[in-house]
Amino acid sequence: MKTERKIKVIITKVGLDGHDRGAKVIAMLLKEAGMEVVYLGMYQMPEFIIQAAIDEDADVIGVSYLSGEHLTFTEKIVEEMKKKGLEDVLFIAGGVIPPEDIPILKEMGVDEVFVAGTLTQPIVEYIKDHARK
Amino acid sequence: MKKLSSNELAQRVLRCDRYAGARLISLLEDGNEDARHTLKLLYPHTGKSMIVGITGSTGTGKSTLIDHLIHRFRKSGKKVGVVLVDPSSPFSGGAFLGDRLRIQRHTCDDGVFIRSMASRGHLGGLVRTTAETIRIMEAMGAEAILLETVGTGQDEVEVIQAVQTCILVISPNMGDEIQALKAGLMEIGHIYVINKSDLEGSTQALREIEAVLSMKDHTDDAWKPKVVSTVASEGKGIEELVSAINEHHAYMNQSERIEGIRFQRAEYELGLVFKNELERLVLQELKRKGKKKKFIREICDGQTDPYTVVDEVLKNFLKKETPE
Amino acid sequence: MEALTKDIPLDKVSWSLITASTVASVTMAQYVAVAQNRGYNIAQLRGSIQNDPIHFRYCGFRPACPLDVSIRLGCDVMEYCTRHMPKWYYTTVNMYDLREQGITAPQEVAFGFGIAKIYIDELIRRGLSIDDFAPRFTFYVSCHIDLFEEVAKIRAARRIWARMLKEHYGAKNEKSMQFRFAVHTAGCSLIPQQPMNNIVRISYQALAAVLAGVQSLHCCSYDEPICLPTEKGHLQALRTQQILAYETGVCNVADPLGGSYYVESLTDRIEEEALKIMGQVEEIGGMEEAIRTQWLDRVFEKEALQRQKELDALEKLLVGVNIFTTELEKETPLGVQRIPSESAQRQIKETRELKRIRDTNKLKDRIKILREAASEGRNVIPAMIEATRAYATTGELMGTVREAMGYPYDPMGALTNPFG
Repeated sequence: MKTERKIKVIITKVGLDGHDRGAKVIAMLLKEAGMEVVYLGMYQMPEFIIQAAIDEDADVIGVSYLSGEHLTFTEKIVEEMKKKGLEDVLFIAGGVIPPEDIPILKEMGVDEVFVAGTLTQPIVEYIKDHARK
Repeated sequence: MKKLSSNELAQRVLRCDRYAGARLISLLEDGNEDARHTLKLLYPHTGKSMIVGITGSTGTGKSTLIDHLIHRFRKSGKKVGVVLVDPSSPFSGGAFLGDRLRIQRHTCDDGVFIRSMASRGHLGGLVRTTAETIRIMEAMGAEAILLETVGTGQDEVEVIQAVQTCILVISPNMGDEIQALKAGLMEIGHIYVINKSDLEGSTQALREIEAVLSMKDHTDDAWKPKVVSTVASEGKGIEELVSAINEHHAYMNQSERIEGIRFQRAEYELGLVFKNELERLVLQELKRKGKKKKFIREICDGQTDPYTVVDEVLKNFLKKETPE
Repeated sequence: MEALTKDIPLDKVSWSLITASTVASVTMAQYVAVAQNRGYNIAQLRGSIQNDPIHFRYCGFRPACPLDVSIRLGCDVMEYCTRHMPKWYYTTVNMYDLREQGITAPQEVAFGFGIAKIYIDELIRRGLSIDDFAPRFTFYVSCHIDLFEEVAKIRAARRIWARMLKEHYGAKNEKSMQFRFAVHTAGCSLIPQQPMNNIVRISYQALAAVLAGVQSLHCCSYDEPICLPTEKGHLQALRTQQILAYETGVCNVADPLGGSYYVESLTDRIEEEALKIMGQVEEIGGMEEAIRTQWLDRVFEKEALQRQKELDALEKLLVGVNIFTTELEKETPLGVQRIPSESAQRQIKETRELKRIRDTNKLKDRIKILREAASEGRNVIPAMIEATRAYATTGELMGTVREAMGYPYDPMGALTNPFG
């Protein structure tokens, strides 16, 4: 029997960045919006994040950056996504990111950036509208 | 990944292509009808793995134990599949799948395939997709498959029937656990693990479980459930657990028993698939013709009852399907 | 540490050592080693060290902060300073970081005092009497945007601490009963939208701290939610304090809001609420149990989610987020602070060089002594000081203690003990 398709989201932190309050909150909010969230927690490296996205057949990868290393890690993550053929997976980022860096991240391949202080609705709507069907 | 035909998908799964395996599981979760054809092609390549279920309340340390088990199985050269089941929210339909976090270090190991699943609240749905996911992992070459569930709720208790060896994990600081165990779940375990056994109350928990188990009737050659103490966070007791699992596996593999197991598993899955197909065919038909709502309204108005409705529908259905 | 303290007269300057609390024992040992090498009498040295390893597990360094190691090392520093450095403030129990998790004002006080009790109980178990060390026990407190609530919170904390020390611990010295603390204005109350507004928020929060009465104040830099603080941002934060201190006159009066019907009733309410929460913690077995069973983690998760929902539902208003919003700025007003990646490379190079030139045999002996002290339950600070003199690195010192206490040498599991 056909069931309603659920959006599967990976929420993760990268490297040594240990500030996970935002990531956990986003994960819970997306669950309450009806999505299935695989929460990978802290200390993940790009290859592990991407392989998890493959195994979980994820529609969205969401990375929370509070360490100032968003440019270095995004480059590695996008490279890994391309290498493993995950270009159709939505890549969103959030956290403490200067506005100057947002266009740079998008240029690199991030689909959208939600900095601190974003309300829940825009994030949920964005994912629902843009995650692959 | 572009859309693949059932054949292509099956071929890729058999070649242990994780994209294909992952995609197929998603299709089955979504109730995609074409995916069944793929399963038909994969079926002959399944049925030979060791399937271990690990169940127990949240916070008992199941994921940490699984982390160690994966490590041990890999050391002995076995390829491992892991299915992690968490409940869906009955309100939003979403789920927080946080078990993978604890075993994530194995993700980039070619010989380990980990998949998180939400129960999705459909009675029987969880069980069917879990059983199918296990088959897919078998087709991908997994020699040991670990299934983790919370073990509460009807569905998750049923899911245990899809495994060969059932491990029940408790931890001493969960006071009501033993009572609950005594109440019902005691029937299902082959191995009982007291995790966090360094905490106070573990000796008591051990004694209580052993007492309950000793009261069960055992025929001489029946499996006597084992009780193992572990401190998963420190890696203690894992050897004993692995031994117990291997012992049970050996026991199950003694000639007639393995046949019995295969029979039960096939019977069980046949029932699940039947139920699923019937529901799909009949209810979908009704829905399509707008009859489902009509019947429900009639039931509410007291004009009829569910049993009469089903009798009528099935009579017509069978008449249609069975040529005279 | 040698480079840091070079040419500065340690007996004439008061030092505030703020490092990751997990390694406060190492930092303390380094400071003492340097001071002793330069011939100072450490009993005369004035300063403070953050040293609250227990709370640090909530700052994203959990693998490095097993609870027993945290209590052990935290108290080793506290005990050492109490016995040998009577002018030193040996801890700043950090309620601020707890509040940053999203909890409420009464929870901040309750959980902060809960952690303080763990240290106090351990120090008493080690044979120190409460009046021996309590006069130097300090806290780090947050100051959030609800002005009256924050004032009341601090006043309530003062009351609770005084009563706790007097009635529960039997302190006789008045100085033990004084709630000694520094304030850090709340980082999590600041937002990147319309960032200059943050200067206003920080000012109100600093005002609240001063109206409540505080011993030391740190103001956030306005760019906290955007990047690491720029020098200009830092300066702005300093000016905020200076205007408050020198122009407004609020520092001329102690407890100016005392007697206000509203602030007094709010103080009572927060005190009651905080005590209730402390009671709840006792019911589940005490603060150690609350931490060990992750009960506290669940509270943090629940509250963090609640804070977001309050904004979504307009129950709490935040200018720039759910009211008076504008398009997100394209530029950070005073520029963005970037850390050049070369700085990490330089540190790595310098560490490698240090390892090459140091006396390895002497170091091995000192590490062995440290390992013995750690496994025999003795205070490790003296051994750390000696090992530091032989140029042991932070990782080597911490790893040695961790292993002696039954944990992997490297919390991230990548390195093994080079001393075998």
